[in-house]
Amino acid sequence: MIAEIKGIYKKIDNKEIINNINFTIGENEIVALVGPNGAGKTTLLKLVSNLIFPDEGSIKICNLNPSKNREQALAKISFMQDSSVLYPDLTGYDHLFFIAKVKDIPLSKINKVIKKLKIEKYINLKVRKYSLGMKQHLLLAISLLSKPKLLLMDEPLNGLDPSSSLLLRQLILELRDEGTSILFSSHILGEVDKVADRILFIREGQIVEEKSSENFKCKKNSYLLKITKPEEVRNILKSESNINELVILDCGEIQLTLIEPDLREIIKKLYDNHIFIIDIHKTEQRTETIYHSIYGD
Amino acid sequence: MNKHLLFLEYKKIFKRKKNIIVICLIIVISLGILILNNLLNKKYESNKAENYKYQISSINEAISQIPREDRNRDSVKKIEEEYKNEIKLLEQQANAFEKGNWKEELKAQIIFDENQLKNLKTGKAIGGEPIQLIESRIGINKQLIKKNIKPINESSATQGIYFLRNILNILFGFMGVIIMIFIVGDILAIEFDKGTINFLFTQSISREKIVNTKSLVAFSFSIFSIFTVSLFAFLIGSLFWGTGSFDYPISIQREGTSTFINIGQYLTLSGLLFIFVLIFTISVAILISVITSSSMIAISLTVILSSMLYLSVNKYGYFAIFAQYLPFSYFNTFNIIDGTLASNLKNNNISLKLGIEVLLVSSLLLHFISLRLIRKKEVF
Repeated sequence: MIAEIKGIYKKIDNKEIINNINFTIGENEIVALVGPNGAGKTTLLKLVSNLIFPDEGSIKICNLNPSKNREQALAKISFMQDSSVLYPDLTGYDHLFFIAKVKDIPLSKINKVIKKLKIEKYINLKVRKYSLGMKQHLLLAISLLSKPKLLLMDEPLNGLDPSSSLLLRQLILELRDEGTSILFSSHILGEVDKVADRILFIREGQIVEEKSSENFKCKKNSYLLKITKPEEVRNILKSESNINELVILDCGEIQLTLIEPDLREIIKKLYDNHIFIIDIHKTEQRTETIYHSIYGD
Repeated sequence: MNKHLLFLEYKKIFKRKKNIIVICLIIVISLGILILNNLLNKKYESNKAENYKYQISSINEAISQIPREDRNRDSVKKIEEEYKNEIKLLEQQANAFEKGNWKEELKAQIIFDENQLKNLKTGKAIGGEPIQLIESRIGINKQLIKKNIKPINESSATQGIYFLRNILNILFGFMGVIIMIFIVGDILAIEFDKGTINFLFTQSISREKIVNTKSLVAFSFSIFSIFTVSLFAFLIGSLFWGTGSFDYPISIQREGTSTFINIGQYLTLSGLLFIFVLIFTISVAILISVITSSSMIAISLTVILSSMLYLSVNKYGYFAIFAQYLPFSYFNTFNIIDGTLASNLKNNNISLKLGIEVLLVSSLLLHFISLRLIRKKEVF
């Protein structure tokens, strides 16, 4: 086990931000933290990285307690935070050089990482000249260079264009395959689906739902319907007893989870109410669906 | 100490525009002072002959105003004789000055001052310059003749070592403390402000090491800044007007008596004390930074606190009885070395040795508190 978080409580300004959180991160596992703003995702990452300390409970990283063996525990971690942590007067290379020296990484690896992320053009510029996307790339380069046992990432996709997001996804999976476990927070639920082995849904400082890739990707009796007038569907189908769950997605589609795999009654009812089905297919249950069912539409 | 962190911190501090701008500004101001000093010196030299003439004519006028009927009285005769002696000495000084014979000029000045001193001590004269000042001037003038060093107008001297003394008179004092607080006082707090402290605090380097490294870098950068400005002042002064004499005597007041050290020793001892003043100032700034996490508050609070305590001791003479135990008493290092503060506060316990001890102990205490606090500091 790489990380063990047990009975964590944290109050900030007398407000309960983290309220009895328990979870573990296994070797080579990617765990995503999902939740609305203020749910406690960043606070949780800061607790794990020892930037703040729990009021109660314990955190162990590779069996090391960061509050007792801070330096040893932090040697196993790399934290990809928001871009404000970068020094504006230093170059990207300065940052990488420092990390390489502190972590005793051969300098030749810096160039490999630079090439891999294709950041040669601006690595010798001062960070103050970087765009948000460039800063995110540099933060990623720092994380890649460290090759930690546990990589913490706070909203890593912020500021990335689609091709960079794809690259990040590949790199996360690559890191996992090379032996790094990852705990990351994200708002971009579609991306979470593609990389996470496990998703922790957080609300008001508590884990309210935990789904592993096995149980959320192949949920039975789940259908995705593209229909006209999706806004009316909840009223029309409210008396339908075969429906376990109905979620109206942001894209206008509806996700139906049925008790029995029989759609005939539902199709008939929609047809009778002049709602036409444009497309229908059986689907995996997506994070977005779970998210909506937990936090509401 | 982590050498990689040290290297990073040096890079950061040397790349901060604010720091380089302030150093350049001090250099430009120094240059301005040098030009001003040169103008003042020229004016001083051109006025000197006039001054002698004016003093002679004033005394002559005083003699002419003695009523005729009183001139035959013995006591008046004596005063008239003394006046005439003064005129003679002043004429000697004026002649020597015109010929460029500074030794003769000084010799006449010494006799003039000795007479004045005698009159003050016997009660024949009252008021005028303080006895200590006249004694000190006599001593310095004697030393100058003995060492064959041409006298200078101390406040506006332009030769290398003398100009350096004038610049360090600013830097090794309260103004220097304020400048250094402005340059390095926020070395830690700015990281909390900008959020960059998270970058360091998530590395496998202890927080205590981070604070120690920052303190060391702040201290060494302050020394570097002062050294750069000093070197510039010395070189620019030496280039145009020569180096001056490192043996130039400086009067030290200690328990009512004057002793002398040379300007080289004077600057070295002041510099030594200022090193401890810097260590103390940085310790205060670091502690305030740890507590407040804000560069603006750290700088302003350090400046306000330092100003209040420095002025209350040095300017208003509060806490005079135990001023020797207050670190802020030692901020004006020249006043400590030449005994001015001890003499002003009538507290002879104020000394270089005790100053170093007080500043060192206070700094260690503050630094220890900072290290304790940083361990428990949360970064939200």
